[in-house]
Amino acid sequence: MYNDRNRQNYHCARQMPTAARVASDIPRLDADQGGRRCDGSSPDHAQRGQVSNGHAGNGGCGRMGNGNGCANNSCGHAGNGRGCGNAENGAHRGWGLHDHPLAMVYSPYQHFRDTYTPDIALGRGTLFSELDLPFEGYHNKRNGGCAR
Amino acid sequence: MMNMNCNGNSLLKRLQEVEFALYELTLYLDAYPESKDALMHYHSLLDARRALVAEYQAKHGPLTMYGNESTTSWDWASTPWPWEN
Repeated sequence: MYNDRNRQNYHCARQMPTAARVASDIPRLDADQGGRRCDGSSPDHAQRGQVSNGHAGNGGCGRMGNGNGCANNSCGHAGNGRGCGNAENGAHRGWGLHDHPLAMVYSPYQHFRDTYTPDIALGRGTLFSELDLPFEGYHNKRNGGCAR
Repeated sequence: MMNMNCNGNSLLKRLQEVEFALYELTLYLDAYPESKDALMHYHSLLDARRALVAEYQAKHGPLTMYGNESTTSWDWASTPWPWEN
């Protein structure tokens, strides 16, 4: 059953850039915290590349005092050794992201440029060359999950 | 009896490519409905899709159940399926 907040979520999801929508359920996070940007009132917020999760001052995870968002294994699924720098178990030890705080996400404005031709697009899995980003996080520590 | 051949598969591949690009443009336009460039690109590919569908159906029969254009014969079940050569 839909209520106002459900509708807001839906509206927000349709307004998100393609990149962000593919990457995670960022729109839901935004809507849960009041639906900012859903009405398009401050699109430059995203253009500046700022963190939009509402907890920018504390490292991206509520209730954490240490600023890195990961240390106490109390932030989401920190115990699985993926995405958190303090992983003590698992062969990948954080996928090379030891210095990255947990769940810091952003969604820059996407511009319509550098599109592939349809035959290339189907092979690459995206029409947009800017989104043609193979996940190579373990081998590319500087750039996190995307190699350019 | 209409037979699928390499040309038919090639047409299907091109159709698949164009439809994927259209799907990508739809996602983009959902997020940026004001983009005139994206809208132009969308309509260009929409025209290309129409032409490909028409060409395929003229040569190989209905592509979907909505493509039964003959008023004198029922082609949907009698023509080869896309994966049949």
